[in-house]
Parts: sequence; C-alpha cells; structure tokens
Amino acid sequence: MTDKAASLVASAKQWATYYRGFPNGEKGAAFTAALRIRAAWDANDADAFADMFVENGSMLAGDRQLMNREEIRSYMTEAFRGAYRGSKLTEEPVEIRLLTDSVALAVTDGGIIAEGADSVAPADLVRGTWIILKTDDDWRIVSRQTSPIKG
Amino acid sequence: MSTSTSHGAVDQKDRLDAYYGQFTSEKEKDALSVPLRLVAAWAQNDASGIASVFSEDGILILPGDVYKKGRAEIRAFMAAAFAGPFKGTGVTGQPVDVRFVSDDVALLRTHGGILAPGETEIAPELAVRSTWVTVKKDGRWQLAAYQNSPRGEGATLRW
Repeated sequence: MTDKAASLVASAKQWATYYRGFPNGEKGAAFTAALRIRAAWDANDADAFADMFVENGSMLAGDRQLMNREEIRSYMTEAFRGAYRGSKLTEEPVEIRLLTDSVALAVTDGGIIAEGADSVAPADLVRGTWIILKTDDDWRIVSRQTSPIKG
Repeated sequence: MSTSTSHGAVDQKDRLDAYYGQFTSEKEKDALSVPLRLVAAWAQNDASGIASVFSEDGILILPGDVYKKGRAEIRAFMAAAFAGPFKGTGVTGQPVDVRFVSDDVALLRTHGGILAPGETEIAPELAVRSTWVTVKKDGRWQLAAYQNSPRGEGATLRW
C-alpha cells in the first residue's frame, strides 16, 4: 500500500468512529450535517462551516449568540485567524432523535482541541444540542448550542 | 366580578403581555406557554409539574454534567434539587427569540436565571441563556429538549 492509501485508510477508520452509535439510517443522515461542521472546523474553513447552517441558523459561541449564517461566517473567519487557529473539533453523538420527518435533534459530547493538543482539555469539555433540518433533501444546522460539562 | 378580581385579571394580562414582548402572534404565544408552565411549576418547587412540561422522552441539559432523559429522570433530579440547595428558589426568563423550524417545532430562547429565595433580580452568577426545543404533540406544546448555558463572565453556577 502506498503511504497515501495507508493514510486514507487510517483517516477513514477514524472518521467512521465519529458516527458512534448512529452510522446509518435517517439519524445517521441527519448527523452528517454535524460531521461536515466538524470537517470544516478541522480544515479551519469558515465558509464551509457557515454554509452548513440554514440562512437564519444560529449558534452560541462562548457568550456570543450568533443569529444567522452571515454572522456565523464572519465570527468563524475571525476565530480561525485568531483564537481557534489550528484547533480541531470533536463532537460525538450521544443521542439523535427525529422530532418530525424533517427535524432532528442531536446531543453531542466533545469540545475544541487546542492546536498541538491531542484531546479536549477537561475544562473545555462541552455538551451540545443541535437542531438539524432536512432542506431540499440535504441536512442543515438550524441551531447549535453548547454548555460546559466541567469547566 | 369583584373589583379586586377584575384588577387581578388586568394585572395578569399586563404581566403576560410584558412577557410576550415582541412575540405577539397566537402561535408564538402558544409555544411560549412552555416556559411559562415551567416557571409556574418551579415557583411551587414542583418537580412533577416541571417534568410534565417535558415530552415523555424530553431531555434536560444543564451546565455541569447534567444530562437527563425522560420525565422520570427529570422529576427525580428536580425533586432532589428542591430538597437540596434549590429549595425555595424561583426561576425567571424573558423570551428573546422565537423561531418555527416547522409547523410543530419551535425553537425558543430566553435570557433568565434562577432566583435565590426572596430575590427578584437575577444575580450575575445565576444568569443563563436558555434554548427550548418545543414540539406540538397531541395538540399541546411540549418541551422536547432544554439546555442552558452560562450568560456573561460571572455566570458560575454548575449543577
């Protein structure tokens, strides 16, 4: 196996674990929206991150309530240049529910992994609630909020 | 109707109108019955009343490691809280955002917090941002998930 292939296999194996108990079905499909957020974060890509939200999507970032996609875009653009530069995100589902055919609720545990660290610092562990909406056959984030578990 | 009752009804309507603020449509007010019911149950330190605001499998998430699933877990947790440090407390909150995700799913946000016994203002330590995921089921708005996060630097309460 080439190095590239070996690296892809290793990454895919790791990636597959991010679905935890919800790899398939509608719940797994809804959770892809959160996984794409995670991928965008790991790439420090504010546009890809913001584009996963519906136009009036909202996100609580620290003590700042962002109220729509463009606010999220500009906040994350700034953050990836500053405080979150080089950081990664871990957010693994502990619960996913379909509230209706097109609205899902996910609860995740995780947090931000600072640049150079290999896990979330205990004080940075957060629990998140996500509302995810099926729009035009694709899932998008309506709301994301986190609160501290230990810190 | 006695004068006092009539005044009482007017006061109640004024209080409700002040609570609803900019959210004046019947649909918004219906969804906001969820936080209003929870606040009323809390005022009585009524754990069962709080649990009954949630849907049968409702979720409660609070800062600190509190992740409760279902009315039974929520009831037990709140009963213990009211037996402990939360005895005699109240809770308050003002709606700041109401969004319908679909006809029967509404996302509500309130700014509020716990009121220590006898207090009428939220102390900075207790200030929270709350999100209420409400679902209309069997003709009634129910709380599918509730989470609050600290509001402001000084918000240090963990459960």
